[in-house]
Amino acid sequence: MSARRRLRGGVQPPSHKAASVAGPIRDLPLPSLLILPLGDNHLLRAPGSWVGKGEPIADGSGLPVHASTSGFIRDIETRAIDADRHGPCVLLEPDGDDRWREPPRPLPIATLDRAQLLEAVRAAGIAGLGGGGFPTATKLAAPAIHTLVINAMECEAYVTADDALLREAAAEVVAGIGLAAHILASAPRVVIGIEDDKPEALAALRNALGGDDIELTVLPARYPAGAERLLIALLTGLEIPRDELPVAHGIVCLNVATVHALQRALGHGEPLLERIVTLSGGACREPANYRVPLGTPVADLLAASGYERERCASVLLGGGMMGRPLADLQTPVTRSTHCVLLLSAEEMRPTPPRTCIRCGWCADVCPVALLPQQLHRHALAEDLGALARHHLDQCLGCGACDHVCPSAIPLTRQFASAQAALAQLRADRQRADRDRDRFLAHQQRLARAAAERETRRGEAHPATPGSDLAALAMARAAGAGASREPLERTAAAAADRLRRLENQLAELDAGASAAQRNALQARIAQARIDHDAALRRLASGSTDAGATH
Amino acid sequence: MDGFPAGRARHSVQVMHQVLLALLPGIAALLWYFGAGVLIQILLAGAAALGSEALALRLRGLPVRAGLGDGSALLTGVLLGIALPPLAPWWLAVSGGAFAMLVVKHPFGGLGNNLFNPAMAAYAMLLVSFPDALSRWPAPLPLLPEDQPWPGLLAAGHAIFLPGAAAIDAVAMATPLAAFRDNRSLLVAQFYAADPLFAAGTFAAVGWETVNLGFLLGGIYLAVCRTIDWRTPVAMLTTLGLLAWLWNDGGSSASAGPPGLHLLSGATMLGAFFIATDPTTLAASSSGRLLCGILVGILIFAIRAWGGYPDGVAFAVLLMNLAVPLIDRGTIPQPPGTVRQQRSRSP
Ligand code: SF4
Ligand code: SF4
Repeated sequence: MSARRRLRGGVQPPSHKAASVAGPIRDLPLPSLLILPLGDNHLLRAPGSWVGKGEPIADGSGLPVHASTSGFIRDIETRAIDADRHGPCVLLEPDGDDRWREPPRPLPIATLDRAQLLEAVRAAGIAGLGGGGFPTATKLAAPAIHTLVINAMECEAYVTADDALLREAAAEVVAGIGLAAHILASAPRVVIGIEDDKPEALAALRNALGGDDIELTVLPARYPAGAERLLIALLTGLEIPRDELPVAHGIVCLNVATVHALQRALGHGEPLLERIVTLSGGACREPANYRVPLGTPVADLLAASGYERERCASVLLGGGMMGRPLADLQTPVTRSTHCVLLLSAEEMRPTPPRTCIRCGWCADVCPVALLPQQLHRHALAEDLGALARHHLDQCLGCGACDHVCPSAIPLTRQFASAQAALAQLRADRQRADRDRDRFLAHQQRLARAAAERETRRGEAHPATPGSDLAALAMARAAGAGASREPLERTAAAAADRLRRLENQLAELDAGASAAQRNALQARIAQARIDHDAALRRLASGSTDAGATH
Repeated sequence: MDGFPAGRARHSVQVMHQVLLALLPGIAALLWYFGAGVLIQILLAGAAALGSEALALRLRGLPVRAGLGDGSALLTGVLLGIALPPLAPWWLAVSGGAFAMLVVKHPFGGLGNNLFNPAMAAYAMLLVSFPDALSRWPAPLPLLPEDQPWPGLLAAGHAIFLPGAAAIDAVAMATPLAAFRDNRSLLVAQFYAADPLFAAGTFAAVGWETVNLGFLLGGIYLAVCRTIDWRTPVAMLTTLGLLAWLWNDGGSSASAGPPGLHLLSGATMLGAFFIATDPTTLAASSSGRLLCGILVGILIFAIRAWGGYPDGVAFAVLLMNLAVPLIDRGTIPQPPGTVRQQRSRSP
């Protein structure tokens, strides 16, 4: 396969990659505390107990959590787990020995069946290291996979973690690809997609592949060609709808770091305990890649590389396009942390944004053919219907539109909150519908019971005109339901709007002008009035719906 | 700064400056053929637009400096100045510039929100209110009588600020589109030979063709830089050329004008590359922009061939602007994957 589809849109941001990949991958001194997000798991060991390196310390419905080094379990606390979420975390205090519970041993892969291998992958805690964080065992468990896509694209600005990995451990990556294909058990075609801007990694990979029956496709460096669905479309021509998984179409896509972890787990018996993180940015003194134990607070990573607070205008978790500002430097490095950026003031977007001039450049670069300028307009007007019509749910959040916007509008951030509002509205609507259906069913049951009572009584006293009453009750129940529906929608929408405005007010940073603040407060007051009115109408509608409609 | 990294290939101010730069070849041709009045009109309309923009911003309680700095008001003024006859009385440019800002742009929400192209709306308002003054173009330089010099700043200023200066009125002549329209009896070839404008021209009327080629040059530059979307001008010019070719009637006396006349006369190129492409008043999607171009092409031809005005660019663009919300609704692009999804869902 050589002639392939071109990426639609996309941008070519300054890559800033050279600096961090010049030297070898560095090791980090052990931090004084590890913070391991617990997810949906429960602790396996009591607080206070000693755990060895590689020992599972929590398991459950999520991926197991391992001790990245030996030490003592301290506590469970709610901590920041990424740029904008908090969650329960196990605190592990390293003892400094970095001692394995049992020395890791390779698995007898040839003697294990598919189920056993999948369980081994799960037990090693392997998840997508490209940023997705999806459990790898779940992907590999899919039946009838015809194509295994290996993602070596790394199109994000500044990030070189995969590049560095390929330079130093291409052979292990190739072994991991073999393992993944073996576990899939359907002899899939294997395609690797790699960008043309990392020749050293490409050479190392070519070398390691030797005469293997694996297709290597070199694609032009263009952001965001490494996004899973876009890469699949580029390599196979298959366009996966947004609400379906690639596995449903017979495709599994794994990142190179993920298959490397697979090889470490099965070929060496080491669960996923560390990952490579790129530390870079204009305010970073020594840009480099670090091998970081999972759970290491970002602050320790920064300290090891000579972080100077004065030079650094913002710390970003993630790459230059999709990274998010990090408020809490005690946020741990997790499986999906591939980059930490220290940005200098010159690298930052100036505020305030100016008005949209509708130049349309954002639409030119959107890889999924959205119209960001229209989304922006409708998001400002809070017109959720129009947002849905313009396929807001298809937005990848890739930030290509932000990158080209000459008015420096934070489009992606706006779309993310609009997406949340839209999802909320849909959920509210579903709940309201469900409640209404339940209410209606209840009313009808009551009415039926009344009717039955009436008929029974009617049989006893044929003169009583009872069935009319029952019919009236039925009609009223139906009428009440019908008139409640729009009222409920209005009330839900009003509540939603009020909540969103209040969030906006809370998020309004200190730099906002008094005029902005006042305007928002006025809108909140109005929203509150609307909300109360909707509730009042709803309350009266439920008692005498027949009268109002 | 808001904690996010900078991307921005270009700044919106740079965009406006680039458009102004791209106007230069056309403006230079206008200056050469029609005298220094062109410059005075541009300055007048530009100043009026900037002044009115400042006033509107102040009334709306918005930062005046930042608003003027974006260059959009200046661009509107310049476009209006280019469209006006070089020796039109000063109050046309001034009232037009003010109208564009105070009536067309700001009541709709200002930059990025106006429904109509402000420069064209102002031009159309002037054309409807003062049809005579707006059709009085001077003769292009090669057709000036021997004793008439190129109208310099002094002469043009005299005509503009003290209207009624008969010396210059004497050399006013019909625009090529108006002249062609008045032809009832001659074959196109005969008319081209008989009319001094066309007799001296290479492709169409002398002077006008050069001006149009100048705007074409600047327009191609903008399209290559991707500052404007190439689809609108290409669709508009192709449609216009095609319709002219269809109705040329083999160059008989009933011809609505050969393609060359339509493409290189009046405000065709200015409209195609600088007016119809104004992104604020244009459809958002690629297919929508293509449609807008086709629509403007059809309307321009219809107005020129059968309407009440010799040129129709302003009205055509305004009518297209009016249709944009509708076009936008009908041309939301399908993201990849969604079409397949619908097909596989309906068995
Ligand atoms: S790039 Fe920015 S200014 Fe241009 S249309 Fe998109 S949102 Fe508007
Ligand atoms: S962030 Fe969304 S709208 Fe913007 S370019 Fe990416 S996919 Fe398109």
